[in-house]
Amino acid sequence: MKENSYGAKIKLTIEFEGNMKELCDVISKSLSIPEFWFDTISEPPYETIGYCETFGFEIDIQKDSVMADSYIFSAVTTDTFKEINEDRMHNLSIWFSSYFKLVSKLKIRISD
Amino acid sequence: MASGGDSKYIYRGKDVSPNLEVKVNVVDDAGNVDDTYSNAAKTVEDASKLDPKIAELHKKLDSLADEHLLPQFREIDPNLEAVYTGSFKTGTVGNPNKPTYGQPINLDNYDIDYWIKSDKLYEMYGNSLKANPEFRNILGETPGFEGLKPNKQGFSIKFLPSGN
Repeated sequence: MKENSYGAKIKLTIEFEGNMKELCDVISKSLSIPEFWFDTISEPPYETIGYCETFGFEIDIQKDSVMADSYIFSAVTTDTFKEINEDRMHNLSIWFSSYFKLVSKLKIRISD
Repeated sequence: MASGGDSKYIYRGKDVSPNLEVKVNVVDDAGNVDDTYSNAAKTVEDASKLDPKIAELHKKLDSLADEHLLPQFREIDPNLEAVYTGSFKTGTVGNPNKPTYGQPINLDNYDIDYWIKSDKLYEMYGNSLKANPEFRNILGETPGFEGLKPNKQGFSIKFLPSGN
């Protein structure tokens, strides 16, 4: 049964001039998902990451390390280690970016 | 928990006594001070300061992870190294960006940052924090872990390159 199991992933870049908390509020409201929680990674430079778990997906938001005023939105199905290992992951980025733009009005592009 | 007696030191079930040589304040010709300790000696020193309650939780977590969490990853990389970090490891909040910096861990509301070091797994899963709801449930049913925060906030896995 597990051999037929597929996970899914999404990776997008969002242009946004506000801070991470403000962006996460926009995302939560537009996608009707729970509020994000924030934590700093436990090693220097202790960057802040926003997290949300919903509908079996783990969503992370972090500042783009290259582009100013840009954030990386990444979502992956939870507990799909085996699926990732065996390359059974659907990439939903293109479809999700269209939907996400529609409901949020954010400037979104597919991450490389 | 480290235990001493004669010349043997046992930490988390392992005899770490053979490497207890400590190098302290070695000054080289250029006047540079090397105050590093051997890893084993530092481990014993850290462990001796640890709250016994936390040391007991370490023991339980090691055993549960060996049985329920790590086998799936050892199938991919038998040489992986699993460690935990942050306040759960040391007993004290060490992140200077947190308002609780320097304070003892609050065992009524804490998290476990679990690191798995493996080049293979790091390449496969990346460096973002991963949840593991099944293992989180196992911890939730284990006495002593009642104070863990819920879901991924309570237990997360991060993959790192070997030797990091």
